[in-house]
Amino acid sequence: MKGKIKREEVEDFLYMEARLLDEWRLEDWEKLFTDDGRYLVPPVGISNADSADPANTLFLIADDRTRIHQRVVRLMKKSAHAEYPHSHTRHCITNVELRGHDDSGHRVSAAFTTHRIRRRELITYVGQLLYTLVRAEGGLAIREKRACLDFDVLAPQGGLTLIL
Amino acid sequence: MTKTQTLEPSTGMVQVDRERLQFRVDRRTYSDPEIFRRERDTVFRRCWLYAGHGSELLQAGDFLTRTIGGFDLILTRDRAGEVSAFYNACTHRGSTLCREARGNTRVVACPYHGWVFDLQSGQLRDKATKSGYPADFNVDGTYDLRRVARIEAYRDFYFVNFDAGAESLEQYLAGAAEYLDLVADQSESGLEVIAGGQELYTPGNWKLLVENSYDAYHGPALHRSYFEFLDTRASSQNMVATQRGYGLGLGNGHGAFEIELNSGRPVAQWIAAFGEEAKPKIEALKEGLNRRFGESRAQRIAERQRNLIIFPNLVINDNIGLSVRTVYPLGPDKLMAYVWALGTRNEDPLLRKIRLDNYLTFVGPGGFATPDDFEAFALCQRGIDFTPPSWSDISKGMTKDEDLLHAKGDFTDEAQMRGWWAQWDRILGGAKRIGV
Repeated sequence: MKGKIKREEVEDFLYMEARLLDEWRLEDWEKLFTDDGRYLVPPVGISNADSADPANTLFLIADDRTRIHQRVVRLMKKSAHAEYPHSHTRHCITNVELRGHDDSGHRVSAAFTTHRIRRRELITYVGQLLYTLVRAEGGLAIREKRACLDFDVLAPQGGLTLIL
Repeated sequence: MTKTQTLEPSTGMVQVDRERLQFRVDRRTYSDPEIFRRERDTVFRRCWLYAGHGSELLQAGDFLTRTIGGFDLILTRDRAGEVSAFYNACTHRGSTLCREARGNTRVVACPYHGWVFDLQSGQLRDKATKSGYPADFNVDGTYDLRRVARIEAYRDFYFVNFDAGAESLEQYLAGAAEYLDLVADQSESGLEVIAGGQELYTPGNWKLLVENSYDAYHGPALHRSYFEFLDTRASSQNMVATQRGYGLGLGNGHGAFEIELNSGRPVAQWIAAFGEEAKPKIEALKEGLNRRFGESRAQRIAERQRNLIIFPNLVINDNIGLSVRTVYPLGPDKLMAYVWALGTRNEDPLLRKIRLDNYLTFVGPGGFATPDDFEAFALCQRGIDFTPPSWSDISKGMTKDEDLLHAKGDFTDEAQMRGWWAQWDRILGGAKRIGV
């Protein structure tokens, strides 16, 4: 992958992504992905979340581009009960680092805390984001977004209804 | 049988009116701390509880730690191939011994005073710490690891029982054994737990998850968005409209429903969405089933889907993926659950990928259906806790003379649920024997 990339540009891109998610502009968020883009959440409590493969390990989420779209379609429906009405979220991104690049794209890691407020309850998801970003028309695009949760068990929601 | 009771004995909190065809459960069974305490002391101390699958302990020395029925356990496999269950506490002062979720070892040392135990036999091995103790210290095994009273397996599914006098697992399983066979027969080389099992905690009474797991009635309403997703990929058929099947009680509180639904299964029902490359692989599996079991049983194994509950808390969903869950109450309004995905041993990588995909989209905590089930538990719990005492209705499909533990109805009816509640009511009511 040729072409320089600056941390400031990456940070602006990730903050914009976080804002789209917080504003539930999921149709716009979806457009940030390349046609072969993937959104992955490995299982919690494993030591190789950064490299685990959804083809042989049970992930929490392993969406290809089609299923990213289906996830967005579902989450915008009233019949997606677990997110109706939509919870309030705040996606916070820190510790952004450029981790080199190869044929698949630019590797970026970041820390995240995503807060979810719903029905008198605050839940905070904590973990690391691993991105593969590529140059696209007018900016950057996501080829892979892997959200590795730091939890050892799924609590207290027992599930993962929002996009990290 | 009296008009308003289920079976003898009864708590009085489950009521049957055979004239009005009404089966109702007092909602305090979901909220009362006293009921919660009695459930722990009776149901979870006397019934067989699923603890793990043989594929999780393949080699001698393999162990795993897990909390079953509220007790921290170590499951191990010894050199003779036998699986044992020990309580995960040092016999000296009670410290947790094994702190890893799984591993392979001959011995385990307590972090506190260093007592060492052979993890296959449970024997206290360490001599160094024994100065100051009498010469015959532990000759009677008092300080060996404490074993769980009973551990037995059926088709590689291991269950424990904390009651030494319990009937055998096979007797206990009653009609549920037939359905475990249908699940296990999918593979000649056996099933295996796939890496990435989940341990989760969520609001809601544990019985809400149990009921939800073998309730086909809620599917079209609660999971509308999931079925709409399925419709986008399965050759434009209406998934809800094509379902048909039955539900039934299997004795001792166990139950199941079984349906025909053309949504595709790695063993062994091909659909176009799986891709042409998968077609010959799946057809070969189907042919293998035909050879082993004949066409009729092979068709049932391969193309029907079943949700099985083994009383009190084991759920096996053999639908587009294969999942196993157990649930345990942490309070009247809080549950914890283990969820595992299973596949066949030596499964073709493409079929394994399809299996996990199927699993993820529905059953997974980040899937398109299960999160809405959890939402329903939270909504039920809220409604039960924050409105005046009332009854929950479980009458759908009831018939006048039905045998509650073995009733049968349409798969969208609630016969299998009445069987579970009738057994719950007997046990909490003080039944002398668990088996009926």
